[in-house]
Amino acid sequence: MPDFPTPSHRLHRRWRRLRDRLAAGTIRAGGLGVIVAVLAIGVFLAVEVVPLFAPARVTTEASRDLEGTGAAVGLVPTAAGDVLVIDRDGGYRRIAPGADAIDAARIPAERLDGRSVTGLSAGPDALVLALSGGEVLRVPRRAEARPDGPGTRRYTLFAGETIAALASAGDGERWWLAGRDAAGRVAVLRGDGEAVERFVLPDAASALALDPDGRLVLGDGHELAVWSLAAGEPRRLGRLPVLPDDRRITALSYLSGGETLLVGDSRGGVHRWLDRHDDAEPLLAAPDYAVSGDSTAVTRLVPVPGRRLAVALHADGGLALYQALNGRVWQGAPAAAESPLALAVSADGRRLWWLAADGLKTLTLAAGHAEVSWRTLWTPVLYEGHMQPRQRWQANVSSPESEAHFGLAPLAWGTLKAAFWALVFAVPLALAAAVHTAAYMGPALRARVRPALELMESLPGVVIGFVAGLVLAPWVDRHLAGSLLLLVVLPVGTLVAGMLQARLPAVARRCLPLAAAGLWLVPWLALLAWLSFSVSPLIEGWLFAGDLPGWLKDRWGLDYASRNALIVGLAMGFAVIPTIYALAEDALSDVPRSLDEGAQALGATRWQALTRVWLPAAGPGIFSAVMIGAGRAVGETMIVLMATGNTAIFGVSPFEGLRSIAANLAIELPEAAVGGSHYRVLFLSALVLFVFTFCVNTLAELVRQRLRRRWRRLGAVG
Amino acid sequence: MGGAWKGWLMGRLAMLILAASAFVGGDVRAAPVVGTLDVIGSDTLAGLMMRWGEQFERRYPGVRLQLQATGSATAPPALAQGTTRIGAMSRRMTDAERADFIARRGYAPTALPVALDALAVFVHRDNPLDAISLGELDALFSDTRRCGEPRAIDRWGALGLDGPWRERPITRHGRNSASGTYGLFKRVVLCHGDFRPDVNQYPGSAAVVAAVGESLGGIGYSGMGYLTAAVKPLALIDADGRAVPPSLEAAREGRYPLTRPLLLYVDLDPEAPLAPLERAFLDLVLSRDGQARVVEAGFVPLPEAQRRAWRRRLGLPRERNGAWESPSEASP
Repeated sequence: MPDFPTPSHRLHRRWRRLRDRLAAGTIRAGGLGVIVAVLAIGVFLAVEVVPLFAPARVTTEASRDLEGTGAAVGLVPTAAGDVLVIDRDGGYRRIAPGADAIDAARIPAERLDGRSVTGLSAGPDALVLALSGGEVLRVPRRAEARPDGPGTRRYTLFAGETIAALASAGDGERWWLAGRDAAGRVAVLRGDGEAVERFVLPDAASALALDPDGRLVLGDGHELAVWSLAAGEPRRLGRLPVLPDDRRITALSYLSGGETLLVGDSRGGVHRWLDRHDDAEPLLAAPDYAVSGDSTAVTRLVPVPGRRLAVALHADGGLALYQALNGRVWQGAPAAAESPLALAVSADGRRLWWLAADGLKTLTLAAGHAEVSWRTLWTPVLYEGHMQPRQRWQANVSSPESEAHFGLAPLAWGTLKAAFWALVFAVPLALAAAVHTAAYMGPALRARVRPALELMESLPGVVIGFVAGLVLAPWVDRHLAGSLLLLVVLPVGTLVAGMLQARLPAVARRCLPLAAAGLWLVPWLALLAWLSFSVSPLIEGWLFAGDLPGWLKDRWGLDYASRNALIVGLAMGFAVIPTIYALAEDALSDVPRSLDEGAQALGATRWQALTRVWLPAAGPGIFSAVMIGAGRAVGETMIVLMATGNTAIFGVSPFEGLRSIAANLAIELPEAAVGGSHYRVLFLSALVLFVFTFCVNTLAELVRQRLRRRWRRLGAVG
Repeated sequence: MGGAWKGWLMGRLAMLILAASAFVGGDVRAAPVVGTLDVIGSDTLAGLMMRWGEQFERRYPGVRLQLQATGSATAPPALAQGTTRIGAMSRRMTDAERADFIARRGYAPTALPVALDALAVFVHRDNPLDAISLGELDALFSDTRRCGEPRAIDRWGALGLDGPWRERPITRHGRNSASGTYGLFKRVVLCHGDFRPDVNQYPGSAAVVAAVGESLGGIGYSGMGYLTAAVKPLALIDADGRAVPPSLEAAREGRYPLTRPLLLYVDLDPEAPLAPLERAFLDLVLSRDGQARVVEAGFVPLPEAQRRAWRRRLGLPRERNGAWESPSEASP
């Protein structure tokens, strides 16, 4: 448009400049916004993950003076978060954290019957007070641990002796109570409803621990004796040395859940033993913790409720935190000059009370994610109930009785395995299709093929996954031999068709041109497919005795799961074919015509021009197409979720199921408690996925950019 | 449009009558029942809550039940933070969840059982097996076998089947780890042991049934309400060797071991009375009519004595004989 300085033109120019600037600004803002959004997602994931690796800490929260602690025999944490300080004469004080007031009360005199309290054991099922004269007062924890509550009963454990140590376990129905006297003799009470039986065991003990199944462990010297009190007469399951001769057992404790036993020794070491449930041996030794250095003896092990965590107290007053899988996660200098009169952990596991001669100290336990470390995430770990270390993902969110297994390796493996099989199906098909479309196909057919493939891409993952899981998987399960045969027959059949076509007389060849191969191959391949399925029962009967899955199991030890990696590979391959095809076809058709024409002018055949000129020129583009396909396969969620059984198996067999990171996130994230270890580990897996796809896609994009530049050098318009 | 108006008008009228009658008769339903009731929690209970919600809205026009059913684990934090006063859960709160609630609110949450859910173990409809023991299930589904079974079971032959079934491999199907169904199975059948990693996990109960229905050698577990003709439920052999079929009666009488209570956790301040909206809802849930919806949703209703005891405990009004549907009929 000619530029005249008339007022209307000036206005028009100004208006145009404004629009240009607006458009440029919008585009720039959009681009920056995308970058910021992606970065923000990465930062958000990282922020959610970082607390997972914060080191455990124990800090002093408060310290209050308390009079008359010399008369105290122990501390009892209550469900409400308070602590009771119990005195020898039966008086007790309730102290709430953060509150000044102290409620003082007294166990009713008729409950004590003139006896004094000498010790106590506060388990999750009951509070047990040891009374002078060898009696015990058991207070079931129904609503609140109150020594004057209902259901309280008094029993005789030792006639006339003083109880030196007590342990209790059980539930509302069945419970056990074990105690030893100063001489190391052990007596046991077993309650079943209202019936209570008493047994005296022939083993001596310097330390004892009980688990909720009625298993009693007695430590004596460097040996453990394991007893089952579950039913009938007490039965000794075994006696085994657990420490070298120069160490003695000084503390014993079952962690919450009652499957992991921690053994503290006279030289400051802590060792982990696991309950076994076969009849061979009662306990299994776990590998020693990396740090179990020499220090003063472990005098007490206090389990943290609901966690696989315990506080260890050393003879010099030093404290340490031990996690079942990770060993010592924190160690501190002695918190006070003398060792405490009593030590207790609150019901929520966040506080530690330390009763000293001058008062009560409250310490905060910050070990929220002590069970997670790089080692437990990525290497085999010996979990409770297992005989050897395993890679395992089993989050166990609903029951604190079972240990959480946060092994990310099976999930990462499942993700890569699904992507691998998807690419095994998709890459040959998509690339061959792209080459054929770009180099051979007639323009009329080509104009139809691309929209068809784009339609294929628009199919939602849920639909593909649904069809794969509910239709394809059972169908392949019933026709396994035929389906596997198909995988061989179809590619071979296509090649044979090509060879036959080349040998046809010229007239016939004109009827079946290469440019229309996509059409006439369809009936041929359908015929082959029908033949494979008709013949496969015969082959299966002849080679595999009519039962291919059984033969796979017997011969190769392969379990055939109907929703397996092959099915998911097929379904996800279907989903990534359009992506790879479109990008590869673009790369091929963007190769400058001049190259092809030059090659043909020099006498190259179609095939020669294709393999020597086109493919090398488009190679990086094809590579990036495959990479982007891989990125899509890794992040795909619904297809994997629905087409597999979500079994977190760490195996190579293509006939086994798998569980991918994305599917696992979809299943478990909505149920994970916000801020918990499970939640954060899930975010860590999301971060791993994000970093992986980010790298793959960036690599693919860089390669494509380089390719563009190369073509520009070759003089193409680009 | 006119119909909706009429409904609204009738509703208001009914409420007016109700309020008036309550005033005259000194009825406890004195405060008007209006507003939105938020319930957060279990997806197992979602279907049942929807039915109750419809009934609730029909009974009290002008109220709405807003349900957010993303899983049992979402209920305790919402209750503790006061986002909701009723949380639906298909399991009991863990000690930590309970402690968190007590720490924030100063009193314990009330766990109100509203129905029983029974889990069924089922196989493909062509499978000749009729009953299975809990020990055998542990040997089938667990790889730690914490209940003490000596050997894992991999073939149907190990369960006493013959012919073509003897060598047929077993495929295992179940729910995903976040569900209460999974937790119950793990607790009762596996004695808190580990599931084998090759147990197929599905995000919904219906998907488990569909998967077993499609797989000849399959065995799976899910809520009893989801069974179809494609699968055959197995009776469970108890300690005395009797086979207990998964039936409503057996579950209600406590003979069938795989049951769990479905709970509404209520934020019930011992110092203050229950808010009218919550009160009206719980009244409906614990009415004969409300319990009839439980059967429709495929669960087992509460035993009569327990239902009455809870009505008394919550201070709900005495029930008249016969069901009542709308508030106008309810007024004396």
